[in-house]
Amino acid sequence: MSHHRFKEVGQTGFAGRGPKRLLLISILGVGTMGRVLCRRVLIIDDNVDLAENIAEILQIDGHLTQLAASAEEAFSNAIDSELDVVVTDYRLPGMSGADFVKQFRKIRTQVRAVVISAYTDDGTISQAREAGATFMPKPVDFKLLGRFVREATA
Amino acid sequence: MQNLTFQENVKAYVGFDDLASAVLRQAHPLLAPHFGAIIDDFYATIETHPGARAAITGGAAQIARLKRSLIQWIDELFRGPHDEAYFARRARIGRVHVRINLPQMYMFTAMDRIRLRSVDVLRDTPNLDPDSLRRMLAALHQILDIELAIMLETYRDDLLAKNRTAERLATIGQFAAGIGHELRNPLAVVETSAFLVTRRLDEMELPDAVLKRHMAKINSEVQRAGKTINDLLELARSRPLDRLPVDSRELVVRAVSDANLPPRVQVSVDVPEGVMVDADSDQLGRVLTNLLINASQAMNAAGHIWIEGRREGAVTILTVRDDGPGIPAKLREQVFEALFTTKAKGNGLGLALCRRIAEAHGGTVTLDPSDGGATFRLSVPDRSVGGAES
Repeated sequence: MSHHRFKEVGQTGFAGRGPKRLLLISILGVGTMGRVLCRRVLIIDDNVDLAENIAEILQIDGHLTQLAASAEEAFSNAIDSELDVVVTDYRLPGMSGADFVKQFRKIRTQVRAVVISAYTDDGTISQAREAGATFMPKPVDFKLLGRFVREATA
Repeated sequence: MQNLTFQENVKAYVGFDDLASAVLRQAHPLLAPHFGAIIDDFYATIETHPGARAAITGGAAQIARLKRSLIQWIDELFRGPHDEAYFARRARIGRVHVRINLPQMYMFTAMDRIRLRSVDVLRDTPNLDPDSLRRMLAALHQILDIELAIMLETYRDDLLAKNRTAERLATIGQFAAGIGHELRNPLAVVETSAFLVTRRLDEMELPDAVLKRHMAKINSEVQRAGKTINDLLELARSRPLDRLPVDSRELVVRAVSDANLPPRVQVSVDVPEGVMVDADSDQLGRVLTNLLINASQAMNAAGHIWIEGRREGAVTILTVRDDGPGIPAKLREQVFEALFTTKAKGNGLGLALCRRIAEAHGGTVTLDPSDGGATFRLSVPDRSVGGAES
């Protein structure tokens, strides 16, 4: 179990900081309450500021979040954590967000995914959908994202 | 040659001289009694073809107007004098046909009707000696060739102007694609941070009006910046149309709701059910929404907007009229240019986008001349009459 990578409200930066808070989360994460009330969300964006803000906004709803700045980092960090939802930018250094979703869903078929992008051309949108993700344009409509995450059933 | 004007050049080329001009004046009284019939024939030719007829969107009233101006046109054709001022006037009348989007090929055919009917009249004139007839026919063909050359030049000028607009849009498009996307990311950070700060301030229940006022400013300006970027990107990319016959009334009602107009703006919709429009409903809806928002802003968020819709032949006409201050006649064309705006907070993209979408449908969006308020007229022809496909 690697729930320790998920963090709570107010945390900034990436997994590994703030041991006190992490302990609390790991208890929540494995508890029945945690499973029912919150989702575990992996956010991938090379714009760290934006990834953090998305995380904070999702945390308001009680979700647990984990950050990565690239698909590769997401793979190595998230492969052994339990996840309900992936929210990823389309344009990432290296592998694209859509390709990440496609690969990741091969090993985690139950994970729901949202690809977000500032690029709203048909190509980007269809690649996101072909990967099995929902597409959302930037700036992200947080009501929409919130509902998606809330309704994601692992 | 380079010092000659276009008209002088064509005149010299076809050999139209003062003598030819005098011969046409002689022919004038012979033809004048037939002008009405010749012009009726000209418009009958246009009306029998759906593609040409689609250009006439103003119904019988417009045809009556066009006929009057064409009778004047043919009267002057024979009467002259065929001087500089004459040719300048000809170019203006030719432009009317370009403006109403009468395709060039129909203009040719219709002009040919004028030629054939005039030749018939002259040939059937009793007691006209063969020499005079020959000279009159020669002068008639010369002047009509010159007229056609002027018309074609007018079409060419119009095409060049459209190309300039298209190039301008393409340039804007490249910048927009590059910068717009780049700006969306930092803007998304500002927006989300502003959201989180606003929320935090609410939680802390700080009675700090200054802080709140500034947060409200940040939020609203971020929204505006986002909208400009969206409009730019929308303008820059040309989405293929997904056309289907849809009920204009439904389209209008949805556009009114999407426009989210301020409470003091009253909207009257007079579009009978069953007025169909062959359109990409998303894109045409955006045109209507833009026109509504535009009208509302022009009226400073208080006033009346009337939307009317009807079918004329194979064309759907939708008008959006407001009782705002109106738009000066000299700006009537400019308002459709990208980045042109008269509003303090306008981005100058809305009407350019409207025009691009209308033209993609093979239609037009124009500003009607009016004394009070502004009336925008959107014309969308059915695909069956040659609306542009894409």
